[in-house]
Amino acid sequence: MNDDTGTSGLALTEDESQLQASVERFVSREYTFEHYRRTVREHQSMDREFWRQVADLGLIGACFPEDWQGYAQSGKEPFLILEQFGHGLVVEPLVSGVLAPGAVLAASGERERFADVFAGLMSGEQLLALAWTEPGQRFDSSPVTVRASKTGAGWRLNGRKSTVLAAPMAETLLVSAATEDGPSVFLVPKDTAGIESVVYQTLDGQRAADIRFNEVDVGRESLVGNAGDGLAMVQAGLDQAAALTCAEAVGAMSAALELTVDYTQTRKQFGQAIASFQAIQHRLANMAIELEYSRAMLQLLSSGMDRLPQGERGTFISGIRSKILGCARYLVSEAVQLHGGIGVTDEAAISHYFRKVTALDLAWGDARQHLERYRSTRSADYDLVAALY
Amino acid sequence: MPDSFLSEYQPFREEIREFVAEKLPDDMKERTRQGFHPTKEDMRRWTAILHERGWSAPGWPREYGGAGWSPLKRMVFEIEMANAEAPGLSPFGLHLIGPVIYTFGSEEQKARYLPAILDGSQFWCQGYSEPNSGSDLASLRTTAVSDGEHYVVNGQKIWTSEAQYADMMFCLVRTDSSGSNQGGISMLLIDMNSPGVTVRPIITQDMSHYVNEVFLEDVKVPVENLVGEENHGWQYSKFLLANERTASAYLPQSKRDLRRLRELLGQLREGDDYLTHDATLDLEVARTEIDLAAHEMMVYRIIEGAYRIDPNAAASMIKARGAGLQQRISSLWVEALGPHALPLFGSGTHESGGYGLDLSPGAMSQYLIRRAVSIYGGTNEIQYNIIAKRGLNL
Repeated sequence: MNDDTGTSGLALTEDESQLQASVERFVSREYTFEHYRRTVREHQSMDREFWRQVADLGLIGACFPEDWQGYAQSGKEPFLILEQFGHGLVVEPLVSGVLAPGAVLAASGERERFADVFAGLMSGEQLLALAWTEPGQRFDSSPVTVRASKTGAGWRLNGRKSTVLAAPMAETLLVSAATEDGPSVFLVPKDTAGIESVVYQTLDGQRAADIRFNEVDVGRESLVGNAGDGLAMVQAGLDQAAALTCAEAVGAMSAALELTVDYTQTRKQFGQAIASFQAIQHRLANMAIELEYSRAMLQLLSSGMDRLPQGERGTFISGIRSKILGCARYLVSEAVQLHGGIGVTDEAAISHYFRKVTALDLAWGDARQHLERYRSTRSADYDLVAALY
Repeated sequence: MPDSFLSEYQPFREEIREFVAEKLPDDMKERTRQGFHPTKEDMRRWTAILHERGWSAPGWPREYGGAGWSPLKRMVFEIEMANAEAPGLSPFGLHLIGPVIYTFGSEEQKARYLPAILDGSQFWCQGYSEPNSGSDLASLRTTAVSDGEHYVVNGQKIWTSEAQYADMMFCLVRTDSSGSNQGGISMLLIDMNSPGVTVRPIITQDMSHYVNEVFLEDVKVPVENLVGEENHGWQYSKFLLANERTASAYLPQSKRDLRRLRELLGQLREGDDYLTHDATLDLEVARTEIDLAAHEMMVYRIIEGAYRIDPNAAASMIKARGAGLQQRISSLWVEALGPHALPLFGSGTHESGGYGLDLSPGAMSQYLIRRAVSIYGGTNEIQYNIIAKRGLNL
């Protein structure tokens, strides 16, 4: 890699390189494959000790822009950190429990009011869960079944959310609900009377929950931003998650390719390593191309996103995400195939990368849905790279 | 707004646009816009116009008459030029042999050849491939035997682009067959008017004449036309390729072609609506735009050295994917035209000939000739081999 070419260059700055290297070292030392499995099996997918280390190293704060009271410099920090988290199969919910809900609060126009929440997230002591998915709809974020009506003292929530990532370990829920003023967002402590949750594990070892709201009464202060502005706020959170999980996908692709190259060099059939067969080599070569192209796209994403106003980010993020997640799902499918039978077992690390990438794709809008969003929202002469001019 | 590595070039882009608006002759622009391969005369004129501004050789050092620009600035320039429908220049002198001559050539060679390359007055071709040396170039068998004053050259070259225009050919020849294939190759500069040089056209499936067979029978080449040292030709040809790593990505051309395609979709109706709103076609166009953006970023990463894989593997990646994009875009283009794409122009004829030819005359020619992009300069399969070997250490 080139030397530092300044903050606007394509190569990482010295600070960014140092951050990348230190997270890489930290994850490979602390988060072995065995550690990952123990976290999922024995710590309900949330190792509080590990999370404290993450916070103490400043990695959560480094993901927060200055106007959320964090200390991100270039905005590339969360991408660098999450790429390593993806590489190491880190299952703790940095995106779903911190950065996605954080982006919703940041979009509320009331950042000062939530200073304590941001501080709690950055210190690792608090997690939030963004409750936006509902039974009966897929990626449509308009709340329908969960409704909030005004009471004398505040609001009363009824309805059901499904597959709320990070909900089992979060103390507080950020809930989208239909109101007479339109979609709105509420900050609701999870232990409020009338909330019931059903907890389960997802294919990638995360924990999620379905949440029922039965006559849940909350105060006026639980409304985030203005009533009726909920869709834009939730969209800001979903866009943030859609963008940041691209970095996790690239990290996971990179690890999956490494595992597969190693495996094909070790595995012998007909007296020779299967990596010596041209049929295998060409598949690996194409996997390597898709990984590099995804890295290039991630660079466009991390350097272009902050140059665009919020309203123009959706098309940009969706176009890039459709490419990266499409490549990622292709690459891990090939990786499993080249592993042969062992590739579909729980014992093999590669199957966990296959599951991780699938989950990243499905959770925040899959490649197909983002491609359609890009297609239908771009202008006639739209050019993704123009964000850099 | 934070700066990006491209934002500083915004004023430069404006400067290029103004220059082209003022200097590019309308007839030349129209031929280019229609998708025709530039004629020899167009290439000569446009090179001369650019030379007046000092822009004909953007990457050459100033001391040799170039603009001395960084590779990134040069890429920005080429993207803008293509987008403005300026004809592509003949690459063989400006991009290929020129840098070899100013790096490895003698003072006499520099003085003799560089000025005529810069102003477009002399054309070059590249004598590399032979009938039995395609992807395995180093197995070439054209021989050159020195009699002290001349090399006497015998053999045959094939797929020689623009040989019919060329005044000179830089040619790989075998001067030693005792050791390794690569070790016995030298590079000679051959005057195409020498006795014993015969050029025979090869007509490609688009019914055009770009490529040729070149027969060399007892051609006498003065020894001072040897580039650098004898038996070092392979090294110079690798230098030449390394110099041109990002050119084989066809980024400026693909960006231009995709823009043209999108404009065309806005002019064609199907039923009640323009093709722009045909969701199945538009989905493919959208996917291609995104893939092209990834390709563009890959090219910038390679130019700026901001990547961590082997440089040869990286070059192979953009070569293979660049070829794929050229083919996909030209394929979408003829699909958008449907039956109107069927008429085929022969090379050099630009007269009107019915609806399809008026609408997009070069579409079918481009579609047909771009089948070759994944074949020449090392097939895609060779690129995958290089990626596996150099990029993945297999």
